[in-house]
Amino acid sequence: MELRRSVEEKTFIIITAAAAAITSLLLILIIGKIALEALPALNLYFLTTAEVDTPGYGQAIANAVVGTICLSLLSVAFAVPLSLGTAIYLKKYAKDNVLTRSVRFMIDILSGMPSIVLGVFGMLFIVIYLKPITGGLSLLSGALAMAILILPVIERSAEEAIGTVPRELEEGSIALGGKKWTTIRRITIPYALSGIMTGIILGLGRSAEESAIVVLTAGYSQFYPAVEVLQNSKMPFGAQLGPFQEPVGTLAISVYHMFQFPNIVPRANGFAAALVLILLVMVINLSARVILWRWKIG
Amino acid sequence: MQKDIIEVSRLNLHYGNNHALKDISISIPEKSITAIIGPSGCGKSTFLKCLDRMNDLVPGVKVTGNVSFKGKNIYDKDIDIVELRKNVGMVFQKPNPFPMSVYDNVAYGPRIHGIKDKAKLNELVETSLKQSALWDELKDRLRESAMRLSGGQQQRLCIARCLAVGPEVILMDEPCSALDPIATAKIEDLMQKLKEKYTIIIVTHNMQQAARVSEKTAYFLMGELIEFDDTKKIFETPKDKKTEDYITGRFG
Repeated sequence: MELRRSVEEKTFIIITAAAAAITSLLLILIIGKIALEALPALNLYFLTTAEVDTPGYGQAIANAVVGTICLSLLSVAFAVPLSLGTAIYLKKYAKDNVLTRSVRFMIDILSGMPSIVLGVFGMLFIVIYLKPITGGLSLLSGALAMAILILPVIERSAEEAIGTVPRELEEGSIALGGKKWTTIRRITIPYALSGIMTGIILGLGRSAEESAIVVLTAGYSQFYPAVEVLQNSKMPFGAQLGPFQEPVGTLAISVYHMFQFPNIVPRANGFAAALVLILLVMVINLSARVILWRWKIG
Repeated sequence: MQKDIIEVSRLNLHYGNNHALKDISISIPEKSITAIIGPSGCGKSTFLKCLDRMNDLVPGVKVTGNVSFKGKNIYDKDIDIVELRKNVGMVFQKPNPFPMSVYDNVAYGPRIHGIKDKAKLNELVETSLKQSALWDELKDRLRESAMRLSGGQQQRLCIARCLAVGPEVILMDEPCSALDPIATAKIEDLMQKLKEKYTIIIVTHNMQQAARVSEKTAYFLMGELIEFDDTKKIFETPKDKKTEDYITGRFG
């Protein structure tokens, strides 16, 4: 009896350890293979030059790196107020009834929406219909569409974080004569901040690696996103405001482009762009952890 | 003759279908310590929370009757709840300091009520910490996180935090039940000092504590107020048999 139990235990330890090992191995394999293939293309020129300044096509990615960062940050900037407001309202103000449960359900549906569908919606409504505001295929269009994508991600994290705030802290504030918004502002949100930040970082990473939406709404540009005003008679006031109303280049599309033309773009370039994208998302996630860690200590 | 600062008349409270407080009528004298005792679930904490309307936070709660603070019914439609809670403070069973510095904890109340002047805040913090016997221990540690304090210190900090908004009444809901005997003794001493300025109403499941600290004691059982009298009389010559059964430990 004892012996059989011990064998059972050992078997499970081995099985679960093997699963962990295989998972890690897979990750190492994928990144390793990409890194190996990317080596020939990884040089300073490739990483720091805008594609527009290179002869040919797909020879550098600095514009895409900056573009990806700009697009992700702008998407988050649009999504956060909406998500946070929704989370606070649902968790703190609304009564738990059919209406609030429906809103939550709708957010769940939104989170399950395929990004290609959001991309098509973005293209029809944001790019074409709202062209006078967004400039058509542009940074603004991409950010607006992306914001819809990451809204549920941030909202859910925020709601969960707000839910972890101990009741007794909020009661303490109320017992001192604090009103509801005062308590939310001074007690609830600061306590939930790390969870909210995690959600924001998740949203940031998600928008950095997204491709379907970007293809259909942000276009592509070989230029760095630049603050400038271009003349465009088709826009209101005849002006196109950069960087918002101009197309923007992103790493995901760079990868796509580079593999589209294997006869003129060395495949190492494509892998290098992919590697940079992976590392960018990794850096975003890691810096999030560092920020949270330091914030928790301080 | 001591004035009564809180007068409760025919207070009834329902949690949904549960009739938790039945026709409570009691008058609390000012600047003294009144203890509320009774077995678990008898409604003493529920009653306490009626006095600063913290029960409003519970969904589905219905309150009828009259609870007057200094002559005004606190359940009137035109009552300013913020003012009420400034005047009637509460200390909870489990110390609940905010995750901030000691200073910010005590200054929290004054700050949310609009006091921004640093000098005034410093003065309020010092006075409150002195009143709760924490100043000497913490005067050089004001910027430290309140979470680093011991349980007893945290509870005294919560008392200081409550004092900083200048209440007249302090409600204490089993304030020592999470503390060791030494911390408990410190808080009981503190209460004796505080009753010169403040009215204290303490809910306790510890009969000996009620006998030690209070001038008057109320005995609650199953949502009803069974007996309310001078503490000495309650413990030595209770009028109601139910009180006597509880006091003598025949059940509890």
